Amino acid sequence: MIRTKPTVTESKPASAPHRRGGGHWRGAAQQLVFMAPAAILLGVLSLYPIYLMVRMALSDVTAANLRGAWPFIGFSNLTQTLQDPTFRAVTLQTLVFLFGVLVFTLAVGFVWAMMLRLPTRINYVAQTLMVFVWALPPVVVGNVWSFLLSSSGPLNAALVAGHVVPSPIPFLSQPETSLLSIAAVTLWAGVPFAVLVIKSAILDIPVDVLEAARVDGAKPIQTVWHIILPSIRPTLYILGVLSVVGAFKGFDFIYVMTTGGPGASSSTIPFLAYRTAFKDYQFGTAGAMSVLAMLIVLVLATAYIVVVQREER
Amino acid sequence: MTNLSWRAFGRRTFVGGAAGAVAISLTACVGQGSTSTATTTDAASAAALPSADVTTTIKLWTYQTLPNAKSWDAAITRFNARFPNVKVDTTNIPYAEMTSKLVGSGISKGIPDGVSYNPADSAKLMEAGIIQEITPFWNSFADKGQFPDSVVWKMGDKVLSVQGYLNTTAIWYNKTILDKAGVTSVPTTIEEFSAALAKVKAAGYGGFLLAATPDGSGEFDFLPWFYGYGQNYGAFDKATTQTVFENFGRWIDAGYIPKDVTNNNEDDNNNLFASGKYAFVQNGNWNLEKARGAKYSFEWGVADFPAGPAGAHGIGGGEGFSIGAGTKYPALVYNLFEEMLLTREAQLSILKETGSLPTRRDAGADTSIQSNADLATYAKVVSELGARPNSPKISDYLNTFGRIVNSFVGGTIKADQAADQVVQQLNAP
Repeated sequence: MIRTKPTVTESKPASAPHRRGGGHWRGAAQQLVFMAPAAILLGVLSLYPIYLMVRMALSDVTAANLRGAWPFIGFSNLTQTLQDPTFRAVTLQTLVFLFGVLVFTLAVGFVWAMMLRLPTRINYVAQTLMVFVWALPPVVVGNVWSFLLSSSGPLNAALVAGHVVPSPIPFLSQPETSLLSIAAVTLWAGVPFAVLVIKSAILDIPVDVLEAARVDGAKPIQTVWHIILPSIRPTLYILGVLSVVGAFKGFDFIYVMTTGGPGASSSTIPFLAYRTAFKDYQFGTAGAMSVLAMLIVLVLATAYIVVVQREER
Repeated sequence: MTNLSWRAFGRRTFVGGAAGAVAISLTACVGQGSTSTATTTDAASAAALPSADVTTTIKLWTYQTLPNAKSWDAAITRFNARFPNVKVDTTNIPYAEMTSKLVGSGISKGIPDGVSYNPADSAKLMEAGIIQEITPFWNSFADKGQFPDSVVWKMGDKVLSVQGYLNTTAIWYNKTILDKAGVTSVPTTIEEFSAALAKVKAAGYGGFLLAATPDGSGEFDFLPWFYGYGQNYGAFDKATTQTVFENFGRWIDAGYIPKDVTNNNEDDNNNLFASGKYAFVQNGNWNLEKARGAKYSFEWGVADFPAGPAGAHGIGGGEGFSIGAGTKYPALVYNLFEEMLLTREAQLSILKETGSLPTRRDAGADTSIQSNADLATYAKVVSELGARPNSPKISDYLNTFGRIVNSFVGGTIKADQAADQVVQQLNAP
């Protein structure tokens, strides 16, 4: 130890600062080289499509000129889209849909996770089933639930047979229930993932802490509120963001179960943008919708970052 | 080919022009009768054909699962007898995605060599540079006189597509239910139909199924009911249009038509009808073979549309073909489609296999149509088809009308609002 320290100090040449500078540049170059593939991928797969989308939003693009020149028309598409009553209604629906999915995913996921945290045989079976549900392809889930929720389906048959309702409810075919039904199916498919994640977070809480709370006389509800929930808060934040982003991107269930209808009553902004682009071939308007959707995602992402930063402090 | 695979035959297209002129002229307007492709592929088009030993691959897009189809395979076999080194590579695209994928193929430089699709979209695809005109091939086709103008799709003077068969819808009735409900004869007017629905409902059965999806299927099933009141694109009258919507509104409110039809196309409704719980379904000739083959547990038949004040008129559809822009051997692709859809042999094969009606006059005069009660009814519908105006906007109109119908049936808008939307959005020339 004694010999080593001065040796290192003495060995530094007079030109050390210069050489450190060269090392710095080499290090920077190395970093650039290592970053390049990811940066190129990001540029090609994310930034360029976003650039095209924004350009499309500011241009008059239809099927006729999709392959040709895109005349610049400024903010016309954006202002028209914002004034469109259908877009406004769909925006409101989208926000309600996201809020509902977020709240229920976390609430139901937490309750189920608490119920399944003990290592019993029935809990293992339940978790296995949950993984199965979570892994099902969305198109399969959508088709199965379309059948279950149809007027002649088993759910309505049970409701009528049980005298719960006098006649079948067309869950997917009336504006009052179509989006609600899609939200329910989204939850059905998404909650298992939330349960598994929350349960893992709960099991990570040190047993000593829970035991100490019990010894101190904390009631179960107090333990949940003051020990468990604060302990798993970072997990809930991440899960919340994943749920919202997943629901926002959700396309399959809408496409398979209602095609966004009746009318646009079960459409979300991304689905409306899809319909505008690939059914009406109004690519400029669809680009404007997508830009506005991106802004909403940006707001959500910013809120998430702010919350996480506050949490880390 | 499985029956299911022919679902796409249910995809309807607009048959512009005089409806009565379609090839199912049962008065036996037998034409020139030249049926072999070797004969029909002649003169001008043959001049553009590559040599018989050409080696290439023709990429076809279709929304039918045609690789299993007997008629499709047989046509390829005949084609390969003359061009043994040409491989036909068929890609199945979902019906709902076909047009958007074709438009996208222009961006990705992956335009197929040929496409079998809804020719109502041909003008839009021509504008987008996805397909090319087939005018020189069609003009040199020896049998083109066999085809009515209504199945030849044009943009100006340019021929873009030709239909190889006709599809339409008619009313299928469950006679077993009608007998039990005391409906003694198949309704022939809107009023009789409404009364029959009331009796059927009172007897505890489901009433009427027709597609109300927010796309071309919804349009295809609902527009005939507006034809019955003399309504059509470009000339919708607000009061009359509202009357038709109100009729449907009463039937929906009374439970004669389930709201589920907002998510059902003809094939979905066909499956519900097969359950024996519904008295009527609006269904297409393309489903006939499958339905008769399934031997339902009840007696059923096919009837013309109930007549409104302006009579009873269906809509004609069926797939057409087009040649992709930039394909290396357009004459070769045209020649293949000729084998698949335009020869008498091919059309009779499709008729036998699916029940889709020929567009050629000589094939339409085939005795197999009149000797089959179901097909004869469809042939009658075809002889009285309504005609949409020939407008490049038709492709957009189909979806718009389907969405209005979907919104109305689902209860998002009322009859007067639906009529307003129709008048405002579908009356432009």
